[in-house]
Amino acid sequence: MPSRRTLLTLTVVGLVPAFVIVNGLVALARGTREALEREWASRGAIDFAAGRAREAADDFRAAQIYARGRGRYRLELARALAAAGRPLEARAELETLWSDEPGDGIVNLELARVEAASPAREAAVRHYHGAIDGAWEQDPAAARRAARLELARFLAGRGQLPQAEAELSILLADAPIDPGAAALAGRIAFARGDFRSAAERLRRARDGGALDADAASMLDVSLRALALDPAARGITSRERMRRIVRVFGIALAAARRCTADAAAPMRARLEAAAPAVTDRALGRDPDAIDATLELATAAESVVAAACPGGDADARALALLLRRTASP
Amino acid sequence: MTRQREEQTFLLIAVLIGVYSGLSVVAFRLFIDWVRLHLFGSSLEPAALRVVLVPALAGLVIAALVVLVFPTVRGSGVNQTKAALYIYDGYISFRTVVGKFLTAALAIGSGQSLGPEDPSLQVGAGLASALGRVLTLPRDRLRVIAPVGAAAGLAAAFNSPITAVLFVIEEVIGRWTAGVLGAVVLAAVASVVTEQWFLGDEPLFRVPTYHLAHGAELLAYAALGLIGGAVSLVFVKMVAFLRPRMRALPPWTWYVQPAIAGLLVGAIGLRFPQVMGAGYEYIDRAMHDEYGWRTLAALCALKVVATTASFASGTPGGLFAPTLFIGAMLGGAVCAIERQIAPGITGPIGAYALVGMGTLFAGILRAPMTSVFMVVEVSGNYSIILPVMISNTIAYLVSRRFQHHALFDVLSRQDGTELPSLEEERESGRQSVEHVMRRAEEVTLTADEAVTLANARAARVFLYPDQSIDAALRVLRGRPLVPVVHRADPERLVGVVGWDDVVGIRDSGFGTR
Repeated sequence: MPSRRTLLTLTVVGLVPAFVIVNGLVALARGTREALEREWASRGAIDFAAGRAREAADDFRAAQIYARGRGRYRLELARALAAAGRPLEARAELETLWSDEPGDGIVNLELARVEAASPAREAAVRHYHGAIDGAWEQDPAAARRAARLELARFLAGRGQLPQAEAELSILLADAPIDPGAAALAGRIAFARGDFRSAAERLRRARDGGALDADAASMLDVSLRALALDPAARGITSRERMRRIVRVFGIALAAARRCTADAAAPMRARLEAAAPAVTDRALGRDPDAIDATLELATAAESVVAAACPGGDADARALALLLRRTASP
Repeated sequence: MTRQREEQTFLLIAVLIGVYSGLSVVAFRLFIDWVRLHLFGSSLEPAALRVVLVPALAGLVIAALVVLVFPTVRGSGVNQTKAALYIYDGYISFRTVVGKFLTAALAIGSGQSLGPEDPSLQVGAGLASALGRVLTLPRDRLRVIAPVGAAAGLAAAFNSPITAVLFVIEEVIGRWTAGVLGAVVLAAVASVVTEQWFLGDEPLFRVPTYHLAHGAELLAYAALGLIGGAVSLVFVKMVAFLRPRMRALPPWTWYVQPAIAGLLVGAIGLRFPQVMGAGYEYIDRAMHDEYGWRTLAALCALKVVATTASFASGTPGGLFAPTLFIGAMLGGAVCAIERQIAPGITGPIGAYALVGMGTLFAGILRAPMTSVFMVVEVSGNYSIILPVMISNTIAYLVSRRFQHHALFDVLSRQDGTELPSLEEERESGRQSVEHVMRRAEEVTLTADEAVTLANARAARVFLYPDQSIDAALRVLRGRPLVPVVHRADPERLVGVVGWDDVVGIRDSGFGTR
């Protein structure tokens, strides 16, 4: 019978083959899992690209199980879950990633997108800022600009225009100018009645090919409003008179097109005043300038109510006069 | 010197046991994965036919193995390890180790609603026992070596050394002794290090950050404790009711019982695949808010049913993982419901799931210390200890109030094995000299007794009131009477104690009430 010391030594030595065997088994299992991970991740990518978000989520979940501990499938899984209309699950996955890396740009951006669709939208703004200030693996500058633009769109969509403009002004301060940012900034300026800024930004957007039909119409109206604005700074008094006459002419034309009975008295007033609304007459009588503008404003209001719509000039005039009328 | 050397050798052996147990647990986990992958495929949603048939067919194979080849591997393994300590002088056959490894892996991999921790515990204990025999350890060492291996096996399976050490001390050994504790700790640490060497240090589930949303939230945790206690009771009563009845059926049915249980689990798995196997990935998902309260409550109830069926059928496998699963789902459900009632004061669902796990652990396994430290160790967050203590204590008390014996004690009695109930030992008060002495003011001494007492005091032989009965027996050896004096003032006689007084109490209960 060998001594206990010998047996103990043998037991210690026995660890070597035991380690080798278990190591071999682990390597074998790891290889299998990695193959399965790749297979399911690949299926997930294909399903996601094909718009099969639910299937993609299942695929990525399987990939995630075989690649336990790796964040990249969790991100794909979260995207698929969000696309499949399962925001709670998507958020849960993203929050796991976020708790590991709260400064990760893409995770913050995806979380912001999920939060943006939920009632608690304050979290979305927080995560958008997290994305803007966060770390990005590829082209961080472009990624941050895109995140800021998305935040501006989100804020504008919520009606928080000053906050949205603040984000956009940062984007527009540095070249290269993002045409999408310029288009959004133009829309916001247009909504504010700042036709000069709107026109300038929408022109940039047009130059960058980011102008849709709606924004193109805004640009057109802005340019017309700028051309009509009698209160514009830096124009001569002659030009001012000319613009007032033009404003009156547009109002008169709109009233003539509107056959509704409600607009008839106003049409009559405009027709009666028309002979006196000339550059020369207005130049001689400064009081007539204000009276003409007041009449045009009143006419626009009545005609717009009786006959909504109108051509581009009429819409430009309407916006211009409303802006002038507002405090 | 020789004794010190023996101590050192024993500690070295404990480390070796830890490493071998860690290796065996790694292999066990790989084997379970391999079985699952080959029986169900790699998809998370296997074909319905597979889901129903695999557990049933595997159940037939398991039953044949258990009945014909490995009759000692039924059940969880905790009681077998206790039996090795208290009855069989540390002996667990190597055949049991092999059988447990194979049958439990097949059962868990095929979807039976059981966990790998208790089998790992028994595999560790069996390896330790085998190693002790190979190294021809003396009997007193051999007896305690099984719990050392048990701690190693459990630590590696659970990736939590503190929990494993506490569980083995609380549930298997039942007392803190420096010699055994050192070995148990070393073995547990060695096994966890070995396991992490191969499989990494990733925890079983990702634990979200805990914070108490509002002070009133503690009431919700108390409610979780109450409900958890009730669910624990239901589970323990169901197992206690069903298991002996299934064992009492004709022996030929033993060949089909695991298959029938598998069929039931498979049928549940068609709609709720989460209840199949250990279910750790689903605990993880519940902790991250991926299920609504209805799903969580359904999973909790169905896991109780599935685990009862699997366990009562004699299928080898553990109760740790199902207990944690039931607790996590219950905790999640309580949180989700509370969110609807009081949205402003509800914390993260992960915290409730975590506390729920501890709650059910306290309620079902009745290891209160382990249940608290398990949650703290798994979460790595000490601030969660307050809700854990509240919830666990309530669940423990509810469970004790309506179920006199703890689950493992019930199981051992059903098996006809009289193992000491460590819970009862913990609860019982220790008799001391104070309980058996005659008070000084009530004693009338004879002349002989007075002389004896005076001699004893002169020789500074006396007892203190708080000393144990065993200590009293040692002092009384050869003396008919010994004075009992006050600790602060040894001159002050508080009573006397005689041999007959002590022997009387020992005969009635061996020093315990």
